[in-house]
Amino acid sequence: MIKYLKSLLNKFTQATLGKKIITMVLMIVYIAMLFSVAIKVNIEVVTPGTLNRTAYTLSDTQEVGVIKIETENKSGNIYTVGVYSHLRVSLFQYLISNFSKHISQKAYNPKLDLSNKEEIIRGEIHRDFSLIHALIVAYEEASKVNDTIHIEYEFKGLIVSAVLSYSKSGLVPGDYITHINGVKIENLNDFQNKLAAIYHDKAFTLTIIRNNETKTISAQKVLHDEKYKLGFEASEYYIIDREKTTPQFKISEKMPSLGSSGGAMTALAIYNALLNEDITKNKRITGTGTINISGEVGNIGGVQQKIVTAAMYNVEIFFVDSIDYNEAKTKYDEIHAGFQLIPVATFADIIQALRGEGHE
Amino acid sequence: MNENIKKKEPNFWVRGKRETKNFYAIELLPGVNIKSFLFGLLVAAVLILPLGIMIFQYLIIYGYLGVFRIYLLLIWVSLLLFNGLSNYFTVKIAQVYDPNNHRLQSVNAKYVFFYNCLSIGFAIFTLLVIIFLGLVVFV
Repeated sequence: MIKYLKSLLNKFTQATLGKKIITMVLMIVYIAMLFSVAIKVNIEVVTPGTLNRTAYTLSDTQEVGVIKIETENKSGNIYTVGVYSHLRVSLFQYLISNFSKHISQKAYNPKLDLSNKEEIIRGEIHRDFSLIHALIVAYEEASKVNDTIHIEYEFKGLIVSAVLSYSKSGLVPGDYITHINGVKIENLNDFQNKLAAIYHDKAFTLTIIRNNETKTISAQKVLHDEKYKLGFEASEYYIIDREKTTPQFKISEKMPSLGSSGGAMTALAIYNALLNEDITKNKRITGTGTINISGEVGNIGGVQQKIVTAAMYNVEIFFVDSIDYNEAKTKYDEIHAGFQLIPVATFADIIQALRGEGHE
Repeated sequence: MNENIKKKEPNFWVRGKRETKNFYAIELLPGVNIKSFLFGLLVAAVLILPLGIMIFQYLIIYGYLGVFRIYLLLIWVSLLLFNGLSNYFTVKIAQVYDPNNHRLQSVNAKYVFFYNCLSIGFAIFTLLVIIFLGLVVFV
């Protein structure tokens, strides 16, 4: 090998000036290509993604979706829309991502922001509690139409989905917080109120369930961005009593998407699958927005990429949370999307829009 | 008969086939055969590496456009290029290690490269493998 390299070097030294220049240029191009794919930049790139099926019923021939509702009703063409997020892309990926106006970039701080692995764990936790919220909302809303539909559930605690690097809470993702200073937590608001009442540098206890074991840990707020914070993210988690729930449902073991942005659409698909009538009138529907058990539709990121994705898949109706509506509308106008874009604040708004009450 | 009429040169495909056949018929010095083959593969792999990674990274960003078939096509073209390059460097390295072998020195590596880049047998084989892996296994 060395012998061959030496012969190449000899050839190079004896070559004409023109050949030397060409060789040097090619070497520079090669090294530039290698560096561009090897060097990582602190940028997060978000691209349009894909549509995913949500709920299906016994009448569907293919078991495609995250949840099976055991009814013979039509499940409808309701999809969640997902985007692809890439943390710390290569220089080459960053450069080529600039060629599309449908791809967005934002700064990523590896010291403060979650790592790729932490983001995946967070996405899985969000997806799981979001599905439960969607089930509760859909069953309760459907029970108003058909009183044989029933769901029973209880609050388990707050599920921790992410812990930031500066946190001194002692929590890890997947923990359930049940008590603060020995006092039971009723919901997220209750926890926030109790936490606000604790003086900032005073240590306090959190009772948690970790790996099915109850533990008490000591926590303390930390001064960050001029505010005392615990430095973690948590959401309400409920346990559904499946024995007392009718009709029965089955959650798929394979769930392709991450995150809670499909909450509202999952609730709609479950709702449609629970009722005899197909309120979607067989239209291709998607949308974005989280859902809580009060039926409020919350905001979420990547709205512009979701609008592009919906246009690519020829959807007919796109529901967007009212907070993200303006951003969605900007992209919608830019690409001259052909679907109906409907802003919603609650799950009831979605039902109302599909039943033709209050929307065109 | 006019003796001045020049014999027509065969095209690069025929010449490449002939050069490749000649090269593989040459008895090389002990060790040169395996050394030139392995180093040829290595040099070709190092040269093609950035292109391969670029194709992969391109799909990660633009995969949403449904460019999977274009991606498979790019992989196929890269494999053909890799085949051509590895054969080219095998000849070149063998020529450096066995400078006194006149038959070996007369092999033109440039034609070996073109012929192997467009080798029908290799192209069909890799295309079938890519179609099987890309469309049957991964989709």
